[in-house]
Amino acid sequence: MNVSRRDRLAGLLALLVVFTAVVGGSLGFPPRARIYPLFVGGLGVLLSLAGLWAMVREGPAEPGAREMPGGTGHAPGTEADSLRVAFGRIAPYLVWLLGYFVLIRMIGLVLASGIFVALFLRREGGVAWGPAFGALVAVCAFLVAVGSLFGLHWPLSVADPFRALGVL
Amino acid sequence: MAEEALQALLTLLVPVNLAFMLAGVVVGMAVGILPGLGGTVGLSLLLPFVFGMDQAPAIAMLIGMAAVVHTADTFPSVLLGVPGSSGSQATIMDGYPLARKGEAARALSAAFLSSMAGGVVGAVTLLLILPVARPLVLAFRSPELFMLALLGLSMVGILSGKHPLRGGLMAALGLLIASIGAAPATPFYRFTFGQLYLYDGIPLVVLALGLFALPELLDLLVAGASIAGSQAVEVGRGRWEGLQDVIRERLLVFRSAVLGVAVGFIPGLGGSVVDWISYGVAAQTSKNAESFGKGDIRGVIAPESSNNAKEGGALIPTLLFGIPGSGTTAVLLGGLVLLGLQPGPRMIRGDLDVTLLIVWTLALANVFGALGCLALSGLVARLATVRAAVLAPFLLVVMLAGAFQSTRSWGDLVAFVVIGLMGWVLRRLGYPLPPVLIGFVLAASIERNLWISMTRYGWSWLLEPGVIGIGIITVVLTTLGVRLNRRTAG
Repeated sequence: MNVSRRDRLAGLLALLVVFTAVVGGSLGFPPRARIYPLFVGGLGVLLSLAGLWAMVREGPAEPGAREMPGGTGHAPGTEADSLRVAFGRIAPYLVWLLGYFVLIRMIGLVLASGIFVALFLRREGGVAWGPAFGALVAVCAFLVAVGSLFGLHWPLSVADPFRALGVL
Repeated sequence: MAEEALQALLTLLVPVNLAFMLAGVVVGMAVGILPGLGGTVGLSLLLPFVFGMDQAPAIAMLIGMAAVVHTADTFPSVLLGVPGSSGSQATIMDGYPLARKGEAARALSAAFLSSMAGGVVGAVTLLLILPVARPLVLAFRSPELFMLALLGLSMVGILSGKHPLRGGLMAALGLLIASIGAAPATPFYRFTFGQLYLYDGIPLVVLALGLFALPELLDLLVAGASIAGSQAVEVGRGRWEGLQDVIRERLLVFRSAVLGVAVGFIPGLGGSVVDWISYGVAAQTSKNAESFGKGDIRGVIAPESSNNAKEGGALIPTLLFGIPGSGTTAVLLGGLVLLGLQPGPRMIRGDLDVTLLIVWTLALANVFGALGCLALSGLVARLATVRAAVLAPFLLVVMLAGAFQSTRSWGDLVAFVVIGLMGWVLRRLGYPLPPVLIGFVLAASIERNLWISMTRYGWSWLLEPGVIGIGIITVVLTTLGVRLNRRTAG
């Protein structure tokens, strides 16, 4: 995956701002609480500045940054991809995530998960209604079983039918 | 002692004890496979059942569970690129690329066999070291513990590939994230922005899931492929190759296991870092190290050997001094007390039979756990061939359910998404993410031990022989790592 120089610069500047804010913020802490964030913030500022200096030395040519070890996946895209374009690609899935959260808040994690999985499989996975409904039932059953077996807790919601029925 | 050891083995082989050990192994496998649940959670869940039980079956169940979590947690690490627990993060580095190359079964079988070998080495070491462990444990004071944490941090240089500067920045970010919440040794809360959720800091599980799992899931969805991509995966094949890999790399297995025992032995260093240290050392000392991070089987064998062996090491201070080296051993300690045992020197005198039972359980549970996982690997490895759009919603449910167990508040879910997006952006920008986690897990040890060292010894601790020795090792390893990476880049 190649990264545009502008995006890399923006990333480094953002990190510089964060670490500078940490240094500034920690100056107001009591002495015992101050030393560690001051050290870490200072280290971050120095490394960010060193990164910026390295970029300046590289010049305006595209450095062709390569994927790092630990970038465990395969971020898709072309060399021309900017962060903004790539974000545009994941945005629909973030909307799904937001919808899932709203569902959890309204009807509880168990039923919300079942409905989310079924709708996602139907819409994005092209799965027929039958298997999608089967997945809904399986997910709900799995969460109820795991929750009971391990004594897990689920987020509180406005109206959770499983809780109302005394299953959870 | 041989007679007592034989007697302890016979006690374990009593059907009821064996059955409880197997029950513990099954629970441990389930806990390991589910991302976000670790040994601490598993032991906490079993603890209520232990109350009122006889010592032998209860110990068999508890140790059986704790022993196999780090065997089964390889499934999500290899197949999904999601850490099954905090001790299997480094396995992702090469295990996941192997799965994407269609060699999931090979990676899994190698991981399970090396886990088993590591676990047995850990148990044997525990047995051998019991009589002489006391002076060794007491030799590590705050200055040495601080230096050991720095040694762990030096692994960043090795794991950052051709960009050590970016690795350093990410480690600093991890150290910074860890400073959120209550400051040690003083009643002050840092960077909480008035949010109650942040008072206890960001939980490790939420950070690990957010940093690795969500970005991976989003990119998989955009790519629209399965984890194995367009590879025609024969998940059943490669299993024997994985076993042969372990036999061929037996020295690496043994070396990593010994390293795992050593790290586990030191209280407070944290099991979360043992896999990284082992991975880093393996990457640095192996031939053709440039293939690490791209699907090298040695990158699976090393962390898997060490994270199982660590349990044996961690039990030494736990049993002999009642000093829990990790969250898991802290809960185990509670279990032992519940059973009427008093961890301390008595464990190698009056309660030697119990200690030996623990050793045998640790060894046998590792064998059973590895065999169980091997039997399941072909079946579970098929997950890598499922299309992302079909697999993703199930994964998201498991991730959210796992993340929520950290503090059981909505903050866990929000933090998971925020950290996930941060991880996605950082990954797009070419930053390595493992250093964030390394910085995070070592931060507490660094800050606490530095503070105690300065308060107790002033600057004089810097001249302690142990400190100097570990310092030299740190500098040498870092220099070698950066040089090796540069040479590889060249």
